[in-house]
Amino acid sequence: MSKGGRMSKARERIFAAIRRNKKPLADAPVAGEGGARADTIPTHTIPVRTQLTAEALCAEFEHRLSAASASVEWVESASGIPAAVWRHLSDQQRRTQCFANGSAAELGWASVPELDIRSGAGDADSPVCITSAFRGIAETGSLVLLSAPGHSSASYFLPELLIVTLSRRDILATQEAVWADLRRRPEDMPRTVTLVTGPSRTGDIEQKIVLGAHGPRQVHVLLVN
Amino acid sequence: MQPSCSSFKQQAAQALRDPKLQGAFGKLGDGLQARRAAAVGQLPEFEALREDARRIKRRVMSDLDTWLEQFEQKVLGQGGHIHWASTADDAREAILAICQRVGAKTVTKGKSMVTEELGLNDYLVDQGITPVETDLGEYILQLRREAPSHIVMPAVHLAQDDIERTFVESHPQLPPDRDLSTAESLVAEARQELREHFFKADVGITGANFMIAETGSTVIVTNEGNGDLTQTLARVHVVVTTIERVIPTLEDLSTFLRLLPRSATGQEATAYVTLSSGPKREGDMHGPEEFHVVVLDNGRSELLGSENQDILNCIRCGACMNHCPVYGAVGGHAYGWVYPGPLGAALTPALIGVEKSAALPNASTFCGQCVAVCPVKIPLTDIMRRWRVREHGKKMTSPLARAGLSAWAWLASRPALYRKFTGLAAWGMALCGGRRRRLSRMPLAGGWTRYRDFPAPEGETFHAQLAQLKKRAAKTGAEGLRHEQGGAHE
Ligand code: SF4
Repeated sequence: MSKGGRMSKARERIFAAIRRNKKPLADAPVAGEGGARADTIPTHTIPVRTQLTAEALCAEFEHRLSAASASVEWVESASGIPAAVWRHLSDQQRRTQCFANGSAAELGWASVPELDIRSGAGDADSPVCITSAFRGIAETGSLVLLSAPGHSSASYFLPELLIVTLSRRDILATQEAVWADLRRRPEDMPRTVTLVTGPSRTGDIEQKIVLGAHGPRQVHVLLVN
Repeated sequence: MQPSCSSFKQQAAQALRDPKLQGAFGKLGDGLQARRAAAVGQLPEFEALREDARRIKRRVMSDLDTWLEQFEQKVLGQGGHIHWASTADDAREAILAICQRVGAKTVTKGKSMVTEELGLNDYLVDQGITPVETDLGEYILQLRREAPSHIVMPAVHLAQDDIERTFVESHPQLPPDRDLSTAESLVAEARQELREHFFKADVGITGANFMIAETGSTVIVTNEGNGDLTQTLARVHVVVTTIERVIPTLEDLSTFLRLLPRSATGQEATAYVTLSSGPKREGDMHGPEEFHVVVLDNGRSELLGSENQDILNCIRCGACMNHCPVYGAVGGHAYGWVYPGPLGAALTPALIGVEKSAALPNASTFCGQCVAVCPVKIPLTDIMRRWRVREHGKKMTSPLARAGLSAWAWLASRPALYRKFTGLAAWGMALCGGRRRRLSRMPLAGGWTRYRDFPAPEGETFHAQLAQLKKRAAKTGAEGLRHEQGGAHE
């Protein structure tokens, strides 16, 4: 039998078994008619700790970021980012090529001419990458990074140091708020949505936590006021 | 992977005699339990979330076909491919066909227990394709030709010096006198060794913690970032997962993401959660040209609607094994197949047959710790008990055990006789226990007394004490009776 034929046979077999065996819930709405539809948004328990004022939201975000071993710094405006990046880099990092993408690529990098900044489909394997986040989540200190034109999703995982810019108004309380914003966009779901919470880590050797397993050893967040 | 679950007893005995293994678990202590407890303690809503999660899963299972169809449509709509696999053979062939069509020579892999279930690595090697495990623990095990011993921390049975030796032997191109004395240096070396593989691989295979019907996304929840590099840098991304992993919406995902890391490693959140939907889009700088999801059944659909259906709710957090006294004593390899601990004891009989795995549901003290911590509230011990009943029903238990059980059943259905007999036995045992009040030998209990004394009963049997209590209470007519009785039953 052809491979395709075999697969549709497998599909038939699986679905037939599921339909034969599944037990409907006594207390559920009718399947297919609003019951089993993914466009009805359910409401589950949301931790009370996420009910925060705008001020407290930023503080909570910063607190959770540092709990996840990321570092944070405020800058007054986007034009201050290049100088903040320069300050954050070690001497050695200042001498290497940095890779910027997303809205971080369009900043006034000329203001720090010492820095070797590449953008576009540049080298995502650079030791330092700078990118912009779609949203931040205060509940966990997570950064929401999307794959999108102009963004290199590989650069979120390849460098030693990942610098992420995020504006204050994009800090939300919960994942649920981020999902709502994603649905509101006119575009389709991006190919990847990644929640990044601190640097890459592993505990595979005797449970000792080591940062920088495969991804960044350091994550530095520049919050734009 | 060929199951050897029926040799559980021998394998467990071997594990108990293995000083390396005992050392590794000794070091582990109750660290994992403490970390989970701390994380759970900081979230007052944890119990409510468990209940939500259980409800979500029940709802999904009651309409599994509908959710899978919605997921399928979304995947296809985004330019992805979906491959249904009824058996492990179907899945292996589907994966091989993709690899062969794109002329793949090497395949990078993120951590996936389902590919262990398929024995995928050996299969690919036989077909001339080189799989490279990229999760640090899995990479170490691949170098050592060992199987994972835990579903979240695959190399938990190894000590650091084992890993050091493995790296020295497996990376001969590096200077033999390099310093590998710290965990940091070992991690750095693995990072360097694997980097090149990510770029070279033709196909990247990952598992999926969840499939989301609403968006057609597969989700991986990780800490190292290897899964993301695997799927971003290879030309083709193949997700290997199973039918029960589908959930309806992004909001449902959030509920599970509040439970999973806390239960697994005591983290508030893992370093990475990535939702992947289809192949690279126009204008994307990176990403795979092809996106495939292989959805395996392998016996799971037969659990649906059965009394053991709830085991399909498992989100593979590993908490049940971290809290299991049996797992903690013998480790994961003793269980003889992919899924160890209480999860394995409840799931394996459904996947490979109770004939080959009846030893697993018997490897439990029924202390119930697993049930107490399971984030989706699976009644693991009930399921194990039902597998024992099934085993007994198939007359697979030993003639001696069956005879003993029949004798006990005969006696227990005659209450007066039962009370006489147990009263006599208690008296006899107390007598034999002497002043030490311990028995060092007992008929039919050699398995116990070979290793430790059996405490001799003191005073009367439970039944006799209860009867006296009732009599006394009837005399005084005290309210206290209900209390005392309630207490006695707990
Ligand atoms: S059975 Fe429960 S505790 Fe065990 S791995 Fe599955 S979800 Fe976790």
